[in-house]
Amino acid sequence: MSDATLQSDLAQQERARRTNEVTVLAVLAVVTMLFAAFTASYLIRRTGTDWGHIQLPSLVWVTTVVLALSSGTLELARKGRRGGWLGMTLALGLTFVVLQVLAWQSLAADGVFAASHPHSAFYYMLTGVHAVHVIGGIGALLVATKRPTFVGLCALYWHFVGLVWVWVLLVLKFL
Amino acid sequence: MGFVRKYIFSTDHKVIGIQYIVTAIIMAFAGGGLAGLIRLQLSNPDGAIVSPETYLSLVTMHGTIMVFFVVSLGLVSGLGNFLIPLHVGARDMAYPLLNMLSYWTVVPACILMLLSFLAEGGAAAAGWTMYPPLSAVADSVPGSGMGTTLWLLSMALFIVSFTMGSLNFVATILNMRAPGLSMMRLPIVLWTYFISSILGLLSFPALTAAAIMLLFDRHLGTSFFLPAGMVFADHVLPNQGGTPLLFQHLFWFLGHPEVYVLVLPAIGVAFDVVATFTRRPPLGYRTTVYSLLLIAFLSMIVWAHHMFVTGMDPRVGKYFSVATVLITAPFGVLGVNLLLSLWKARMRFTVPMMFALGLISAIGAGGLGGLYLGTQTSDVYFHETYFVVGHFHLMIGTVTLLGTFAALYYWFPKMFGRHMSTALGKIHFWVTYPGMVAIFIMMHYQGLGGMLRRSYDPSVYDYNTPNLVLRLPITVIAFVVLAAQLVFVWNFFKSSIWGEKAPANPWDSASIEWQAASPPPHGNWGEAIPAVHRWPYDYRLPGASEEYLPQTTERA
Ligand code: HEM
Repeated sequence: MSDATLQSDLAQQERARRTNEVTVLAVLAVVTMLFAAFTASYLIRRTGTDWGHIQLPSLVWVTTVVLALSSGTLELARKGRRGGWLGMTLALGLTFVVLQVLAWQSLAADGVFAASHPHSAFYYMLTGVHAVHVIGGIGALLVATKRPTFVGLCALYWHFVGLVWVWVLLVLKFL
Repeated sequence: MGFVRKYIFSTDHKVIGIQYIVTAIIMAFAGGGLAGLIRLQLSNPDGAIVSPETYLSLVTMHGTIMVFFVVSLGLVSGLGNFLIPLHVGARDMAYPLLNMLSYWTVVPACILMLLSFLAEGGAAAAGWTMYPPLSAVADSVPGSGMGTTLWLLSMALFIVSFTMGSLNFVATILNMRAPGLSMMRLPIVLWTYFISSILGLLSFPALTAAAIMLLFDRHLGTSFFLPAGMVFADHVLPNQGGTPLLFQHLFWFLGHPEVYVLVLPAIGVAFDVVATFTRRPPLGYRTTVYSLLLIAFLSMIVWAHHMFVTGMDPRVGKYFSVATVLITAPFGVLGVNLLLSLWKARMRFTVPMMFALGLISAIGAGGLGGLYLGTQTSDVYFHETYFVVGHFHLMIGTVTLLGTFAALYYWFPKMFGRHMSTALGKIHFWVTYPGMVAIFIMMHYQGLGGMLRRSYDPSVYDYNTPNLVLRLPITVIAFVVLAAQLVFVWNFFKSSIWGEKAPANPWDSASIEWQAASPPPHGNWGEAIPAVHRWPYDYRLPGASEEYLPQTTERA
């Protein structure tokens, strides 16, 4: 390969990387707006006369730890030790989703459904919408196992979705 | 490439753009047909053409289809797809595959929307705004059953598709520009697509959230939007504590920016068409760009001016009123820039130019009505009357459609390498422009007389007697205007095959897309991406040897 084509090849790659970065940032903006809309709705709905808190299933603390760990393993994968860490992140991500489903089941077993209570309605909805974003992230990670350049972008999204989870928990617990 | 890859599951932005446009034309038959039915019902002096329930379905579906499936698909997605890569000197969108996916997501959305007419109980009937409780309680009116479920599913697919499309637009404009093409060298039309894509990205999530909550209320029995004590079909609903106003806030957080998503590209088209046919740059490029950005920002913080009569705190209303009237400042800048761009210009009265001029006048007429509606005190009177219907049809109906037509007549030679018939184009213009303005101005008068919108038979109210004088003229003109669109459709499809062959740059335009072959080949630019050396408006430069200098001409 001549120097010139090598140069333009590098320029191409650099441009592709920047394009992907812009796109991921735009996606994060979209997700932010979505959860901002939910949060605003929550703030309005909690002024209703029938408002009150349900007991959050204790599993959510476990899932929080699982998601935090997955962010850690993904960082390790990004720092160049791809090997097992990417697989580990995937496994933790899947565990998170499964545990979220179990948490729903434990609530339902106690007779708390979406319609039982305005707070439980938000619980099911917010955790559900969040889980969909985690599943999207798992899809992206699967692509990243084939395309190493994606790992950094995936990490950006994945950490963000982790932060959204913390936000959702804070809202559900304290607001 | 096989036929299927080339014309059906294509990843070429030009093919996808044309697919969008053709889809929008097909949906326009539905939307226009519904408008015709609405007018027939409204001007039928005795007896009914349709039942009251069906009438509400017609209005709902007309509004939804026109806003989301005609103007959004044709003007924003369709022309945006065709123009953006060409205008930035790229070979295609940043993500061609995603682009194909977004088109093939909107196709099922269209089908579901149309299918809802076949649903038991008929199509959705809660208005294009889908306000609860009608939309949240499945047995409230017939259309609230399966019809509304299909409406929601269709809109969900639409939002997914539109979001993918906007991501592509933003990424392409930001990162795929040809060497030398800085943002400040983009034509104004591209700025409008850029800004409207960002607006769409940031505002649609609110509707997504509202739709998810609506689905929960409908299918899981939650009470996000339903207050206590609602009685429907002889039984009291078990819901309590919710508030339908929450939905209105979320809806208009999308709904208001959405009208700017539609109107801004039309205005951008006007700027560029005017530049080409007056042979000089638009006045105030920079002020225009900054005004566009300011309009976009303000459009996101004025949504509740659609809700003045919901019993909101007057101080909150005051804020929304002031913010709304503030928008007239940057909008005024756009208007003044457009008008001064015409000042003492030697114009070439081509068909696209005629539509652009019509559009500019419609912005003025529509904007004037907006002042009365944006002011809290007068809106209390005008709310829910035909004044509103007339106003928004001038903006999101007339401005956007005239903009779409201007753009299609203008860029048609680039799309197909052929001209559209000028004679048919002029007939189309001279019916459509005066016709639409007349229809919607007359609706303003009916609104001044207090005639209510979404009303099945206005003649049952005595006070409407003077308003009824106008209903037949409106209907007759509406049918003439609708018929004239058939002339356009015929011209479009006929010319794409048999039209007179057009050279690569038939209008002597300086902007870069005309430097590609007509129609551009796959990849647009042959061997090398063009390098850009100037902005797109170098007409009649003093001392230049040519009458205009294309963007690719090197600086001396
Ligand atoms: C010749 C063309 C058109 C005619 C005659 C027409 C007529 C009407 C009429 C009479 C109504 C009010 C019905 C009622 O409130 O009872 C209406 C509603 C509406 N139209 Fe059009 N229309 C036309 C084109 C368009 C276009 C191009 C758009 C594009 C954006 C549009 C968007 C809407 C919307 C959003 C509504 C409100 C629906 C609702 O109340 O839920 N219309 N139209």
